[in-house]
Amino acid sequence: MDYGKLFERAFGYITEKYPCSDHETAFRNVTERAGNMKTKKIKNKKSVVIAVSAAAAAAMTVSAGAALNWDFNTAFGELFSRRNDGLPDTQVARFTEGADESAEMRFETAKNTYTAYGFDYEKYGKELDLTFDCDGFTVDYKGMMGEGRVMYLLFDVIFDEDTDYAPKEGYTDWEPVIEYDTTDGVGREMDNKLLSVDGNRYSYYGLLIGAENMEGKDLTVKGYGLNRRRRYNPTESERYFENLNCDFYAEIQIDTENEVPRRTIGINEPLTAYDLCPVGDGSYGFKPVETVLYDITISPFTCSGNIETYGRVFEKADAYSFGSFVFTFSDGTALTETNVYSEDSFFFEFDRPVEPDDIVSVTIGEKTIMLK
Amino acid sequence: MTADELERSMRKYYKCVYSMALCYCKNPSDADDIAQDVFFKLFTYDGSFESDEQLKAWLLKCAVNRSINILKSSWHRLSRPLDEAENVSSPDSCDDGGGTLFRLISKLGKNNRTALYLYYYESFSINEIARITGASETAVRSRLARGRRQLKKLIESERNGYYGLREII
Repeated sequence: MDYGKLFERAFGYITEKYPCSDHETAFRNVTERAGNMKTKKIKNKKSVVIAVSAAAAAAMTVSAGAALNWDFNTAFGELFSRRNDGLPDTQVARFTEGADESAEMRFETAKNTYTAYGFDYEKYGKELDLTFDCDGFTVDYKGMMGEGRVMYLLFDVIFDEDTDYAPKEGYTDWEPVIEYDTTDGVGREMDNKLLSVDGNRYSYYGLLIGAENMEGKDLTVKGYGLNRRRRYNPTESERYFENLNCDFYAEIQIDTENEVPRRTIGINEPLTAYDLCPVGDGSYGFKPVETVLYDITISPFTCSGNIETYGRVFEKADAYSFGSFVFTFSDGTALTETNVYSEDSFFFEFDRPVEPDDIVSVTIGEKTIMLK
Repeated sequence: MTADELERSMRKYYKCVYSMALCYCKNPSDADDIAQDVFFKLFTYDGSFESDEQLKAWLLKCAVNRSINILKSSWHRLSRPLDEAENVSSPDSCDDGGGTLFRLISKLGKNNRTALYLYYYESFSINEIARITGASETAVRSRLARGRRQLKKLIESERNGYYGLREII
């Protein structure tokens, strides 16, 4: 079979039937957009190198930590604890198969007995000490940590005393607007969460999940300001948005001198998945289907793998569900990822960091796979 | 980059970036938006390229990244069902075979489809595809093998009942 000719025929036909914009229109759109952007000057732009390697990171962290008087390991430990509300309870998804080939998903409460206690965050990051002065507030990028596909940024927003920053009934908390971008990619919006409030100091963490491995890349973190919005539809005299605009850009080089510990385990075993599909009178249910799990890759912060789906077409953001992934560690503790959805590959971020070599098995749905 | 250089690059590569985005997201409007985003990125990019091949690889890498962003955005997930009529993988009564092939290629998973497209349509090496998609070379080899196997099965299941396809394969 000549795949080259086959693709030529398919894409020749489809780009003729659905042609792209003509070059003149596309060129005009791009240059006009660039012209608008160039009128905006970036004043706040600072650079730093962050090492996800063990030895270099630790050395730099000690000196920076002493100057800033905050503890890197404690702060990132609190990040994972607070974003899970410090609760050990989790939920395990279970499927019950019925007589008509459909299945129902229900959740059972379980314990996340694995705590990540003693995890050495300093191995994977660095304090940043980048402060940006804005009109009405200051932004302090405190530290960054992570690996490859996922990075975590701790930062504070310190409001000036004369800024009207206090929580307002009917409005959300202040939400920083931040994008991130590697030099050879296109920007993505950073997912921010408020961790704590201490007077005029709001502490956040940002989650950066890369479309690709960010190791060895120059990462630009682009802050545009703070927003808060009404939780319900405002009347005509009320404002929907409140903004505090300011540019705070950081260029962060993610250095990799040592390898992040990753384990890739070849599995090649059949695995039951559950396909969300129409059942009877217009309602939807899960239908069990057979797949093959090819492999699993575990790193300190993420898990990924590849699945054979036998040509299943995934439209409208539908996917297979595999239920929960329960990881068991060598000391008998367990960590659950509640519900994993996938097309032909899956990727998720752990609720708390792990040492990949400590994991002895993973239970996916009802199937347990030994990893040692 | 000057406006003249941008125009030259757009003349040469706009359709190629559009096709890559169309392969990934299967929607012409999204693909056009993605292509314009990519060239906007190029126009504002401070770096330089040693060769046209390097520039093309960079553009396609941006197209893949931007496609991932678009498909993952909540706006896209909410609005997509309204745009079903625009989905290019729907069956087409005027199809001469190319449309059926595209529909079958669309049935492959995004990662396998992208690897096959870059390898067979754009003639990139496995190493280059790994750099464009952010996957390891092993993963690219595995995606190519899996994608070929799946596509062969899909084509074989249709070829007997479809004259246009019999003519091509």
